[in-house]
Amino acid sequence: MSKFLDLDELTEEDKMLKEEVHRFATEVVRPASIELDRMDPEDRIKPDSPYFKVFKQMKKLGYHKINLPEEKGGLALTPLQRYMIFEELGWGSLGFATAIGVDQIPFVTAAVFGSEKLYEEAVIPWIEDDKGKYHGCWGVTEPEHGSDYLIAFREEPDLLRKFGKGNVIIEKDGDEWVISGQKSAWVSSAPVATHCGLHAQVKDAKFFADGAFCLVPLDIDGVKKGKPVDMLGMRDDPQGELFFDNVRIPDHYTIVAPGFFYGVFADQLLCLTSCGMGAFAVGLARACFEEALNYARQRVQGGVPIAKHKNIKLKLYEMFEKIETARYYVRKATEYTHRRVIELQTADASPRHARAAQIYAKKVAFEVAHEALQIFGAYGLSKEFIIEKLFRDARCMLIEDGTVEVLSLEAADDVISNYEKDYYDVEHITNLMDYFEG
Amino acid sequence: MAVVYPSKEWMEELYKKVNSDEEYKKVAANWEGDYLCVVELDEEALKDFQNPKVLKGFLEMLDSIPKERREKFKGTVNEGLLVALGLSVDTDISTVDVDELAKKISEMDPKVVLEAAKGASLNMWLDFWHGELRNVAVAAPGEHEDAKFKLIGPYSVFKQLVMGKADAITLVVSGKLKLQGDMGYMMRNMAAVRKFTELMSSIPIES
Repeated sequence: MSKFLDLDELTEEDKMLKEEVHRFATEVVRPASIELDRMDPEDRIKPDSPYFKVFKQMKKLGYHKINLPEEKGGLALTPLQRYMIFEELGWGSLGFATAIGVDQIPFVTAAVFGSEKLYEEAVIPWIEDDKGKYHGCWGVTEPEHGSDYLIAFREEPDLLRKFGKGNVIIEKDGDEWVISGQKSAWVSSAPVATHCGLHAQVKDAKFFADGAFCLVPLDIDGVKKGKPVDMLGMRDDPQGELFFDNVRIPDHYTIVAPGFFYGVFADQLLCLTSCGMGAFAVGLARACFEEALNYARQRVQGGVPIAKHKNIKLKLYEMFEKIETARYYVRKATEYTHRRVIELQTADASPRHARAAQIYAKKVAFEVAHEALQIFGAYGLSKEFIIEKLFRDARCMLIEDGTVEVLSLEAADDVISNYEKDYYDVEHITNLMDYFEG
Repeated sequence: MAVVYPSKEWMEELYKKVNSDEEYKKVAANWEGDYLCVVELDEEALKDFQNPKVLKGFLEMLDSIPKERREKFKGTVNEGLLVALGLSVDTDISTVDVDELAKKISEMDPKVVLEAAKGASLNMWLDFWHGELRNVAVAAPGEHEDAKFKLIGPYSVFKQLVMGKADAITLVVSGKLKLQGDMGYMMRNMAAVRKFTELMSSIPIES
C-alpha cells in the first residue's frame, strides 16, 4: 500500500522522488526499525547493529544533504521535496527519520552561519560522507532544563530567573571556548554521534537564555557519552547523555556567539526542526492509518470485514481527515519556513506557524495511532503487528523535540503578541536582553 | 575593474553598484536608515598598510574629510594612530610619500603601534533610503554616532566581508562583528541587508 491521492500537483520528478524514498522506507528502513526495536539498548549501538547499515545507506542516498542551501553543497530540492522525504522516512521509522534529521543540525547550521574555515574543516567531509562516518546530534535538553530550554526567550523575566543556571556552561578562553557540564539522556543519536550541535549557557550569564551554539566533535578530550537508554518508543534511534569536562574547542567552532542573534538563531532553528518533526509525525500517522485500513478491510467480524462496521468507518474517516489536514498545513509551513531560512537565508520564519505544524501533526499522530490500535483490538497490543510499535513511537512524539505543552505555550506567546504582524517580530528577544543587560 | 580596499575608489564602486541594482531597489524599497561602520585598526591593517597601494587608499579616504572636520581627530585615539605613523591631523596627506611611509610601517613593531593607537578606527558612513544608497563617506570621530545602525569590528573581519570570504550575517551571528541598533527593524528587512552585503562583496578587490 501507501499510494494516495496527493492534492499538491506533483511533478514527475516529485513523484519519482517520493516513490524512491517510499521504496527505501519499505524495504530497508522499516524492517531494520522493527529489528532495532526488539534489541537491547547496548546491542543497538554495536558496530554490527542494523542501525549503522541503514544510516550508511541514508548517507549514500544523500538524505543528510537535503536541507543544505544549494550553494553550500545542497541537493537543490524544493521545500515540498524535502517535506516528502521526511514524511516517507517518518512513515518507515520515526527513529531513523529523527536520526537523519538531527544528523543535519550541527552541520547545516555550520554551513549557513559558520565560517569558511569551519565549513572546510567539518562540513565538507560530512557532505562527502557516503559511509556513515559522521553523525550529528543536537544537544539541547539538560537534567534541570528539558523543554524549558525552548520557552526561555518568551518567558517572563521573573520566572526566567527561577530557571537557574544552565547545566552546560561555555566560557571564552583566549582563542578557544571551554565547555563543562551535562546534557540529559534524551539527546537523540548521542550514543552513535560523532559531532554535537550544542547549546550552552555562557559562564556567569545574567539569564538562562544567554547562550551560545557550537559544533563539538565528540571524540575530543573531555567528552564522554552515557549508556544508551531503554525507552518506551523511538527505540530505533539510540538516545543518551553527553558529558563535557573542560572540553576545548577552537573559536570558529562556536557558530553562534552570545547575544541577540543567539535568540534569533534558537527561534529560527526551532522553526526548521518543527517542520521536520511535523513531516515525521504525518508519516507516522499515515503508517498507523494504512495499517488500520488494511487490517479493517481484511478482518472479518460478524460475517463482514470490520471496515463495514459503522464505528470503524467513522474512525477511519476521522483518521484520514486528520492526516490530510496535518499534511497540507505542515507542507505550507515548511514552504514558508524553508524559503526564509534555507533559500533567502533571512532568518525570519514565523515561529507560531512552524510550531503549530509540529504540535498539530504530533497530536494527530498520537490520536491516529490510538484509534488505529483500537481497530486492531487485542491484536494491536501484541508484537505480532507493527501497530504496537507505531503507537509507542507516537506516544514518544508528544515529548520528543519539546513537549507539546511547552511548544504550545511558546507558540501562544507569539500568537498573543504578534498575531496581526506579517513579519517576524523579535521584540521578545530585545525585551529580555534589555531587561537583563540594560 | 578591481579596486583597492580600503579606498575612495572602493566607496565609489560601492555607490555605483548599489544604485544600479534593480533587485536592491526592490527589496530595500522601504528601508530608511543609515549605518556607521567602525573599522578598527588591527595587525592585519598594519600589514596591509605596508603595501603602498593599500596605504594610499587609506590615506586618500582620510583626505576625503575636509580640513575643518578633520579637526575632530584631535585628542582622539585616531590622532594617536596618525602620530604613530609619523603624521598629524594637520599633515597635507596629498604630499605624503606613500612608498616611504609604507616602508617605515614595515619596520615598525605592530604591537607598539597598536598600543599607541589602541581603539583607533576608520569610520565609514552609509546612508540608505528607499532602495538607494544616498551617500557613502568617511566619517570623522564623533560624526554620525546617532546612525540607525552601528557595525563595529576589526579591519581583518571587515576585509573578509568586503572580499566575499564571509557574509555579514555569519560575522554578526558569530560575534566577529558587533551590530548595534534597532534589531527588530533589521530583522524585518533582512532581504535588503542580505542584498546589500552581496553587492558589496561582489566588488573585485585588488590584492
